[in-house]
Amino acid sequence: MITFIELLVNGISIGAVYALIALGFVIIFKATEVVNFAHASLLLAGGYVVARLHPYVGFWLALLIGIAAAAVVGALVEFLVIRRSKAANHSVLAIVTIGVDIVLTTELTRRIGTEVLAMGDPWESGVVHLGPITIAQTRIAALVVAALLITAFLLAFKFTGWGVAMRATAEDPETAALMGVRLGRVSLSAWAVAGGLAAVAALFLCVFPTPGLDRSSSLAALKAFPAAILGGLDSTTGALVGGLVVGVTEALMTGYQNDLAFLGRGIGDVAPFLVMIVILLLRPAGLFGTKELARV
Amino acid sequence: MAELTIADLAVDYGPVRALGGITLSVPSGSIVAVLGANGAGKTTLLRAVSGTLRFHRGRVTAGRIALDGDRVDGLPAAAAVRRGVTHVPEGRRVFARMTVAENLRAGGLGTPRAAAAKAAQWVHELFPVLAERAHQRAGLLSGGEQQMLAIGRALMADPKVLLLDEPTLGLAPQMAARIAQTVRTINAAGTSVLLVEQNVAMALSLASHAYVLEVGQVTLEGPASELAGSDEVRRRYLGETGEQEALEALESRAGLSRWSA
Repeated sequence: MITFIELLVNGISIGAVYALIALGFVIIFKATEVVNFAHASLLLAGGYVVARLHPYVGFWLALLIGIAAAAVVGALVEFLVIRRSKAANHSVLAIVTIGVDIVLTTELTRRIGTEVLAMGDPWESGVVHLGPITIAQTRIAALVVAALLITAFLLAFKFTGWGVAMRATAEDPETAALMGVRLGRVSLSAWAVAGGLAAVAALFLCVFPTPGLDRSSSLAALKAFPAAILGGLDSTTGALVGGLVVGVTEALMTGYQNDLAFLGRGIGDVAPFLVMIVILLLRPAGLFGTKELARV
Repeated sequence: MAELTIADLAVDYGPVRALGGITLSVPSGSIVAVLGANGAGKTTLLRAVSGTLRFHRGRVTAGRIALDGDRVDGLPAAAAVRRGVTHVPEGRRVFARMTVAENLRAGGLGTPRAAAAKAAQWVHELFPVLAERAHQRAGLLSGGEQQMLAIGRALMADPKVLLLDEPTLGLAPQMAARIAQTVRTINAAGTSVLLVEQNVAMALSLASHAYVLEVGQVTLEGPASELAGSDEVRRRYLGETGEQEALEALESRAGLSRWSA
């Protein structure tokens, strides 16, 4: 039972981090209808900046700069690639983002080389004891930070002018333009926000119990794809639920893999994708997605 | 008060010419109607003015559009709104998943706060029902209410010139009359209106001047009262073939009684 609760808390915590990534993925899709396969490289860029800068400027400042850097990289991808592209078809743009991802990831992994970079976070390998339950401080920090960011984001999405412009654009870009919404700015801000959220996620994917940022860190970000898709690609609620489903599934499957030995090792890495496939078979638009994604 | 002038405007959608050199003017404070069959280019004309042709792969290939003498052709839609041209698209296009209040807020996004607050008050005066339904999803409104919301949302941008595309399409006659009355009120408050309508009788009763479009060309224009009296317009758009037939039609109609009577 104690193991179960520990696994569950860890799962929710990592799920909240996946939700941060998936949320960025979803708002880019909502604002521009582009499926952004370059998301993992935005995350890697943010994490890389934090890892490299913290010895010089301290952790918190490095984190802020990392978030800003990932936001700028996201905005640059939008400004230099997505906006310039005359390709009207959004599937083509999605393929273009794969190219962007390969370019960014190749450069970053070249810089990282074979190193494992520490993030310099203040929690290190500390743990918290709640009765018989032991939880890593990093997991609690991840949960709290992700919950705060997600709440702030959803409030902004609901109540600010920026949020109204985002939602109007997501629903009907042409009519939003007729309201005086500058579509370019909406798209740019979506990419920047998504980048910033990804940088925060990068931090929590690379702290304890993970040894640090290395060239394979962006692979962890891939699990946010099933999170976004099983929740429904155009739903912010879906991104949150999807993130939690993936996080908890992964944590439980990994934790109990000895009992599931007949499935072989590494089921935890595969499970999120299996869950995604099962959910898509039952609900093709994801849990909270709009059934008809085509615009009339 | 502002004057919209369109000179020799030509628009292409790819290789297809939609407008072939249109000249039209909406004098300050007036209502001008554009009539014509489906595919004549009425909606294209409004899109050219509001800068939304690019959403339909169309572009202005010749001519100019000016607001009080300043050119507005080629501006992106958001910039056109800031200059004072607001377009209520055909089919209402309310943001169905957002509430009525959020729709109105979206309409005022490009407007300074004070002006938007004033506009909101004016919109609620014109359409009290929008205040009552403020927190309902726009998709749940009736067709007439959605049209009110679409017009109200456009007014939030405090336009100098309002472009209306088929505002009475698909509405019950009573609701259509209500919308027509509102257009009159909005115009009386100082907004010039360019009205595209299939309901020719209503359009001619509202407008001071009207243009008839056919396959991208202006084929008739004149004061609305004159057009309403012209045989050609009556024959083509008012469903009458001549004086005699019209009188007979009226007489036969008088013979009908209502079921409830």
